[in-house]
Formats: sequence, structure tokens, C-alpha cells
Amino acid sequence: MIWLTWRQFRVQILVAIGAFVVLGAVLGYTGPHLVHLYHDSGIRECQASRGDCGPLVDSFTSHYPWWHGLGPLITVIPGLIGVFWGAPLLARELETGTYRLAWTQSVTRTRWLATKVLIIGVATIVTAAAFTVIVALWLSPLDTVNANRFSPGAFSQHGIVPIVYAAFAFALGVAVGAVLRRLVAAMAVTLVVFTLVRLVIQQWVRQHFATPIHVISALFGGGSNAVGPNAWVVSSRVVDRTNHTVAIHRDSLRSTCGLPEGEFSRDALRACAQRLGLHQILTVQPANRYWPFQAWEAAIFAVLAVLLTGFTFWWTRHRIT
Amino acid sequence: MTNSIEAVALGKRYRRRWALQDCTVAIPAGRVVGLVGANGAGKTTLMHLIVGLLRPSAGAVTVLGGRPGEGPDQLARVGFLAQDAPLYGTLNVGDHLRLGRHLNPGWDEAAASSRIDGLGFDLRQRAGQLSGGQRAQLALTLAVAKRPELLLLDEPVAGLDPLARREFLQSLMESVAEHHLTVVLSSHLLGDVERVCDYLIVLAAGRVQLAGDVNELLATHRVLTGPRRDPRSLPGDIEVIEEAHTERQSTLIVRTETPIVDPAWTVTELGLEDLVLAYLGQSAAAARPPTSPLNANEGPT
Repeated sequence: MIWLTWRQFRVQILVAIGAFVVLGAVLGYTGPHLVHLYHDSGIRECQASRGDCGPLVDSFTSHYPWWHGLGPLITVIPGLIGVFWGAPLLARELETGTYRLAWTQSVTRTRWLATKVLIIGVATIVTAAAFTVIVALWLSPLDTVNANRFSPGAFSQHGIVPIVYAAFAFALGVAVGAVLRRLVAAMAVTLVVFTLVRLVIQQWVRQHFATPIHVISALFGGGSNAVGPNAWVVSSRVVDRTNHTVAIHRDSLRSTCGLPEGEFSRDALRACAQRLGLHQILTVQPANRYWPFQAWEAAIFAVLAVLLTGFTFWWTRHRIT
Repeated sequence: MTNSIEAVALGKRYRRRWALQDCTVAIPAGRVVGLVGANGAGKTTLMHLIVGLLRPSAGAVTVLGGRPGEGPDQLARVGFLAQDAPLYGTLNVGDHLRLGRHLNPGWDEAAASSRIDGLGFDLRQRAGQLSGGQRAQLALTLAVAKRPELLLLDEPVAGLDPLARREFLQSLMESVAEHHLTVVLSSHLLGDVERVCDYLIVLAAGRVQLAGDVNELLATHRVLTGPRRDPRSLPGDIEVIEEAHTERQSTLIVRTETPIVDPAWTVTELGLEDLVLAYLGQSAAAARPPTSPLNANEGPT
């Protein structure tokens, strides 16, 4: 069974290894240079002296503009695994009829499935971990500078969650393939369901892992100064002196204050807002909750992956009959 | 154990449609059994139930004393060549043999390689590029080298040209003789069945219409031709399978254990093909609304 799994899976695994080697070569070649640039940029000294480091940061982050693509790459890898490794596992056998060959050898279909799920499942975890680690290592100077690792996008591209997403996507692909029995349909449904689950948890569920704290800060005073680096500002609202929420944005504030059109000075706006008694209340998940949140999210996807795998075994034994 | 397969009231339902219903049949060991029926008669369903790819919705089937597909030992004892000889298109011939070796503890390497050598296969050729005949031969090699006690073949020659068909059946019979297999072969090509099978099961509309030793069936079925008369006037031990009447003459296909002595009848023997068609016609007639027995030329065409 191990040999057969390898023989049927080797193209996919070689594609993954090839992609990893190429990416690893590029990152390995440019990574030390990026670290060097960071040390020479003077950002650390600037931040230590609490000055305005904006220009330094902008200059540093513009050296390798393609770094913006690395996070999205980590975002799509689990989806690719679900579509190209998970969905075909049963759907292709059922669609082409080869399950009639595979399941009439002297190996029970439960063992057949267990071997495949185990081997390709482990490959999934190793692959996702390998890509996540090399990208995170390479990005670490930029992450330090950007100080936004808790923001929804960055959170999903770092730490342990990308690995668990991949396991979930794989389990989802296998289960969908078992039920639909059509390869292309299974691939499409896997991608759509995976994206939806990821999106729902990222946008609406994650913020409830712990009760957020509220931070009062001046309008246009720079929210991140009030909450510190790497905190997650979930939402914010503007309130007046009586603590009532007011609907106001930059343009309406500008006209209320009588500031000229095209006036972008944050200081002028901040001064005016202070005069009017306006300030903002930020809903915040502090930076020290980053790892507990990683654990929560990983646990949710791990449980989903386990449930889906259990379902696939049950379905294969009792319903594909 | 004299029966390889015993099915009792076996049935399989897909949603609301019964693909196989109330199938009670015993298939003796050591025979080459022809499973015959029209397309959609339930042959594939019955085979899938016997190898354990399907589970019954009703009744039960015992195969070699065990439950189909129950554990590796049971799987090892039953070989299956599914319809259209499924193979992995991207794997080559050698890979398929390796697959058989890895997945079957009883794998007979000598038998496999001698068959493959004899058939002149290129081990590096992909299964997707094989001809229909080669596919069937490779699939048969896998099924035989597994060294099963019972071998099921679902329409193994349906897509083959006459030459490939003959070669396939020949190599099947060689394997049967060599390994003392019980074989169940489904086909709607009655000529092939007549050539290789010594036991016959006729399936129609999901039910068993006829089952028995081929020679015995041929010995007990006769065509009676004579002056027109009502078949109900025949002695009680004669069962009428099919009747056709013209204004003056009646032609009957009957089943009887005793010789026909009535001099009014001309008695002739019946070929396997006509015998099967008579039973298939009977089941088709049973499905239609009843008509009067003396009602014009109702019969086989």
C-alpha cells in the first residue's frame, strides 16, 4: 500500500518539492541581504529614539517589492493542497472506476484509505510547515518593521495556523471527493468551501476568542501609538463628549472644522477634533494574545479536519457501496 | 463446501430503483458459471455484491463461507475483473504487476510473469495506451496471479474483437484448468458462454430466471411442434416456457424431466441461445399485461 500510495502521488509531491527548492533558493539567496539592509537602515535606532521612522520604513520595505506576494502564497498553499492532493484521492478512483481494482485486492478499503490519508496527510503537514517556516524566516525583518503580525491577513500567514489550514483543506478535499465522486466538481467545491470557512472564521469568529479590551485614543493621533506594536485593532468608533457614537469621517470633519479643501495635515485635524471633544474608542486584542489566538484557531481547524476524516472513513465503509 | 456462492433473497436498491431483487441462487464450486442477462438485468450489481464492493439492501450472500469483502482473507480468496478492465492509465504494465505483488500476500509471481511474457507485454508501456484486448489480459493476469479460489469476470470480452475475444477466453480456460478456479463470467454474448461455461444463470429484470448445469438444462428442454392446441392440455409435468401459435400449428418450448411420448408432437433439441432467449422472453412477457394464450403469433422474434 505504501508503494502504491507513493507511485500514485509522486508527481504531486515532486511538484511540491520542486516549488520548495525554487522558492528556497530565491529566499536563501536574498534573505541575508535583507537582514543586512535592515541593520543598515537605522530603523532600530530610530524606533529606540521614538522619532518619525516613516521614511526609513518606506525606504526599507521597497527593496524587495515582491515580498508582498509571499504572504498570499502561504494563504493559497492550503487551498492548493486541498484541491490537488485531497479531492482526487477518492474522487479520481470513483470517477474512473479504478476503485473496483483497488478495493478487490487483498487489502480492505479501510486500510487502503488509512494508508493514503496518513501518508499524504503527513506530506501535507510537512509541506505546509516547510513553506511557512522559510517564508516566515525571510519575512522576519519586515515583520519586525511592519509590527502588524496580529492583523487578520498576516495572522493567517504565520505561526502554526497555515499548517492546520492545510490539514483541514486536505481532509475537506478527501471528504468532498468521496461524496461527489466527480473530480472536477470535487476540486471546485473543495476550493469554495475551504475559502468560505477560512473567511468566516477570519472575519467573524476569530475576534471572539477572547473578550477584547477598549482603548481610548485621540482622533488622528495614530491608533498604533495608543495600543502598541503588533496589537490587533478589531474596530474603532468615534464618540463625542457624552460618549455617543458619531458618524464622522475625515472629509466631514474637515468641513466642520472649516479647514480648506486638500488640507491633509493630521495635526490640524487632531487639534480640531480635540476642540470638538471627539475621540475614538478602539476595540483591541492586545499583542500578548497572539499565540493563544493561534492556538484557538489551530484547534478549530484541527477538530474540523479530524471530524471530516472520520466522516470520510464512515462514508467510504458504509455509503460507497 | 459444495457451493461457492449462496445468495438468499438478495436485493440491492439504488434510491427507489431495485437493481437486483429477491435473488436466491447457489453457485456450485469448481464450475465455470455463465451469468447471462440483458443490459441492466443486474449482472454487475450481483457481481459487486459477491466481491463486496456493494452491500446488500436486502437478503444476504455467503461467498466461500464468508461475508463478501469482510477482511483481507476474504478479499484474497476472491478475484475480480471488473467491467471495462479498470487500470490506472498513468501506471505502466510493470507498475500494475508490482501493485498486485504489494497488495496480495498470495501473489504468484511465476504465474504473473509467465503470462505477461507469453502475451508479449512491454513492461514500460502505460496502461492507458494498451489496446482493449491487452487491457483485459493485464487485468486478468492481476486477478489470476492473486491466486483466488473464486474468480468473477464482469463482461470481460464485451469490448474485444473476435480474435482478442478468443485469445482471452483461451487464456482464461488455461488458468482455470491450472489453478482449479471456480469462475463466474457475465456476458451477453451467448456464443462465448456456450463455449466456456458448464453452468448457467439467467438473470432478467433483477431476478434469477433460470439456473442449472448446462448439459442438464439442454437435456430437459425441448421444442415441440405440432397441430395447434392449448398448451394447458399438456401433462402436468411439462412446463411451458414459451409458446407461439399460428392458425394451424403450435410451437412450444417446454421443460420436462420425462421424454415426450405424444406422437402428435415433433420433438427437437434446443440450443443454449434459444433456451436463454426463451427465458428472457418469458420474463419480458411477465412484465407485460397478460394476453390470451391463443392470441396470434406471440413469441420470440
